[in-house]
Amino acid sequence: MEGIAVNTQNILDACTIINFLHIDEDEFLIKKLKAKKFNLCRKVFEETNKNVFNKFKGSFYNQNLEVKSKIKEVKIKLNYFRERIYYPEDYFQLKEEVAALTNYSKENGEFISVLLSFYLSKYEKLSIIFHTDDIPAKQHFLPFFESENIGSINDSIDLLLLLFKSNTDFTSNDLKKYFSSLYSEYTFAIGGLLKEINEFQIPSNLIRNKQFRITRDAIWQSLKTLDILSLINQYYLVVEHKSEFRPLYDILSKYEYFFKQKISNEYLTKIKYHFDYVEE
Amino acid sequence: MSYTDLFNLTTNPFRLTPAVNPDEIIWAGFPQIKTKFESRIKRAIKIPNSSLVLNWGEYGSGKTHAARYFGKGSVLTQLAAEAESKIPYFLFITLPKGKTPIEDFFVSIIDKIDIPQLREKFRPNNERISTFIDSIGDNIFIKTVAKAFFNEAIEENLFRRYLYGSTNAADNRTLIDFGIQRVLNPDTDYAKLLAIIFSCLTCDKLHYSTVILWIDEFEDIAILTKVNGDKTNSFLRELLDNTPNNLLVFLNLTQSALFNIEDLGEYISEALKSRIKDRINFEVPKEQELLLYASDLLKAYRSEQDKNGEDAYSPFTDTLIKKIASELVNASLRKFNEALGMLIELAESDSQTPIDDTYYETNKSDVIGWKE
Repeated sequence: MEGIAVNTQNILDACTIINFLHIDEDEFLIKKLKAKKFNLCRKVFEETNKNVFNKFKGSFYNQNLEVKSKIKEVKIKLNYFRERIYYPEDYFQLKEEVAALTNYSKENGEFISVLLSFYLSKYEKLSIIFHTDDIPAKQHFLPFFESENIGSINDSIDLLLLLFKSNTDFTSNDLKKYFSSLYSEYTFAIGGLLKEINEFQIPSNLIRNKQFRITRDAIWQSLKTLDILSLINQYYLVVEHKSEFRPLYDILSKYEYFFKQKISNEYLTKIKYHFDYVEE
Repeated sequence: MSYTDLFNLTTNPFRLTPAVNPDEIIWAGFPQIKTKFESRIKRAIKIPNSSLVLNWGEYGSGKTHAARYFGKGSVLTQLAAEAESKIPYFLFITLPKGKTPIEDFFVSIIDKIDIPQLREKFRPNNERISTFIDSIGDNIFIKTVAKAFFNEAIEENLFRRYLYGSTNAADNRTLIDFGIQRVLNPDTDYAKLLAIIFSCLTCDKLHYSTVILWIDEFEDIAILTKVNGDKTNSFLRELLDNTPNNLLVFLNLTQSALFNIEDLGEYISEALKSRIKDRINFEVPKEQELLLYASDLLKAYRSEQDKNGEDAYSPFTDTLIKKIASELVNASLRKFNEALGMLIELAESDSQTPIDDTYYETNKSDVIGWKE
């Protein structure tokens, strides 16, 4: 039987792009990525542009020369993604249909990416790999991808593996380096939070506030057991009632960029697994 | 009412935030851990071989506090007297987590070194230091910089600018006059320079018997990228290799979901592991240890010592402390501190003294947390 040629198109979500912008060194990854067929929607570019610098505002990064040069470098690299924004935006005509089919009402980067994926699959006859590290989004849209035969939903780890496999000059040492940088992207925030929450002292006027105490203890418990999804839920609870939880909000909001990525424990385990696998 | 009137205490002894004033940093309870540190430090004062010691425990088990306590001048002076030698030179830093670990390591150590004070101290021994520097190693450039460190003719600010790598053209011309012809290279020079400075500080034990470098939050090596983790390892290894004598390094390591002692091998290189001479464990405290800790701490904060008829655990009782300890179940020292600290704070706002079982039961959920 003759092989069937399938045209594959990668669609990138903001969290995956942000990861690549943060971990890339000397434009190595960006150059490999440029050789691939990939696009993103305008909304994803806007979200990337808005959030990619948040990490550098955190308490553990001093605004030293090194950070300033990193910011400058990221700004330049953003241009590589700007030129891959998919135009024209005719596919927006399918918005209501896809919203109904996916039972999703938010017009965020993930949804518009799914919309674009659907359009390219249906009208351009392309097989789509949508790369996102947003676990809830992946879980929500995967059945739609399968039922409509759009393609698959992968994450940054899979994208790194894809680039590794398709480039002879991408060595296993490079791969290990990028896996470890990706792991560090997330654990850096967890490490910082662990310290801050551990050292946090409940202010005298809040000792008798039951909800405050329960929330503080739940955050600590999630951190101790590395239950990231529960931690993310606590974060949104604190944000929603920020006046009530002000001292906790002041700590958690410094790590906003981490919470917004919505990763899971399995994701961290997956990075570790692949790192160990390459090492062996 | 004030703490003194209510509880015969100057303030709340069970604070979570560390004391800033060294006089307020006291050691309470846990005599075995204290003895272990004392004997480790005394051994370092007496015996020349450099060594590495791991301090291992959960969050809030007292590792950072131990560093603060054993960094106190009065404590080190006492230990030196007992070991019949000079005081150790103490440096406390937190593991650098930036993108440039070697530079950050070097800078955080240099930041803590009072160059004018050392220059003044070693002024009468300048010749000896100079011959000592000549006698160690073969790197002429590093030797020249080490001599400059002690040379009062080179202005301190200029020399600091040089160490931080921020000299201008005019500075460089001045430095050339002192034989310093190039900038320091982080990868090859930083560890060597620190090693030679450490060796000079303990030369003939003229002023210092040993250098103690205490690194806090070393578990964060697990969240560094592999490249930076490797750099940190090789920097420390080089520092130890080049300081064969009179250097004691303590590494504080906290058990967490991201770091377990079994995984140590993943993060610390074989070369460094082979230098580990001891491990001091901060175990989860037992009931008797908590009782001793509480009474020691309360004693240190008494407004009036040995007040007639006062219980050692006042304003609490031993049965109440045991009860809190058992209800907290295997809690860290910090959790225990927090519970007693909050209970005493509530009692102060309610003007309640003594703090008895009934008062604790009424406020239990606020103090030890809500179980749902």
